[in-house]
Amino acid sequence: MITPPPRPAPVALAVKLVVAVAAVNLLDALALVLDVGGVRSQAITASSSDPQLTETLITIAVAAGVAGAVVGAALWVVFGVLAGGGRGWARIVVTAFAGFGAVSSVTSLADGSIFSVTSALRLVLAVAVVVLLFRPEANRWYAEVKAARRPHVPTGYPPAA
Amino acid sequence: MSQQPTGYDDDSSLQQLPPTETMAVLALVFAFVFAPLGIVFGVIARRNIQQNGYQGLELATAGLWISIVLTALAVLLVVVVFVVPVVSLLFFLLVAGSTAP
Repeated sequence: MITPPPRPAPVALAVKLVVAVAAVNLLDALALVLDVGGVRSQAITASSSDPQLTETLITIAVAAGVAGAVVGAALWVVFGVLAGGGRGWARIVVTAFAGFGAVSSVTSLADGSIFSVTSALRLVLAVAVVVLLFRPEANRWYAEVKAARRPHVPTGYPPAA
Repeated sequence: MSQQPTGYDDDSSLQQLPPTETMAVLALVFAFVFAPLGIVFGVIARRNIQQNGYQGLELATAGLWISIVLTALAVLLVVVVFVVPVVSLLFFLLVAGSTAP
């Protein structure tokens, strides 16, 4: 079996940026927890229903938001590390995550809160990750790693030149 | 007159490549359209590729994982948006009813 070639600089940088995206996600979760009092008082003031019920629903929403941010961060890191290990399919998954992240970032950019700052940061990082993962050096490296991992597959087809 | 190189002269290697597994493409497409079906297509595509040696293993695996993640998130969303509020409301009504004078 052929030894996989060393990871090129763009892929190594992309993995670091993926970790940065995850850190931004965790920052979002932290901001949500720290600002929970303000969100709760705003919602209770705006809502005409029972304050206790509104408070319960706000608690559920904040818990869901924090859980979503933490799970999102974990997914970014897991698939980012796999992509950094030469898995071509993980590169496609990271690209899909970047697409979802970009859409959600764009929708919350006009928010004006701390979340719009983190959204802008996440958008820039996600675009940079995708660009780096699809650089020509990265494409070449993924092809080499794939060839090294699958030295012989009985396809019935003659080997490609 | 000499023949100019077109860049397409050596196309014999292209003709020898195995075709791409259709299910693999479907797995990636349905990951974004209807994720549970993307899981089905992804599993079928990976099994077919192992048997027939077609291309598209990366597409199938990526489609499978994106489908799994999106399906899990959809289930979580349904639980958070529908199940938890209904249970909370029932709990709230029961507690309010039991403490009412």
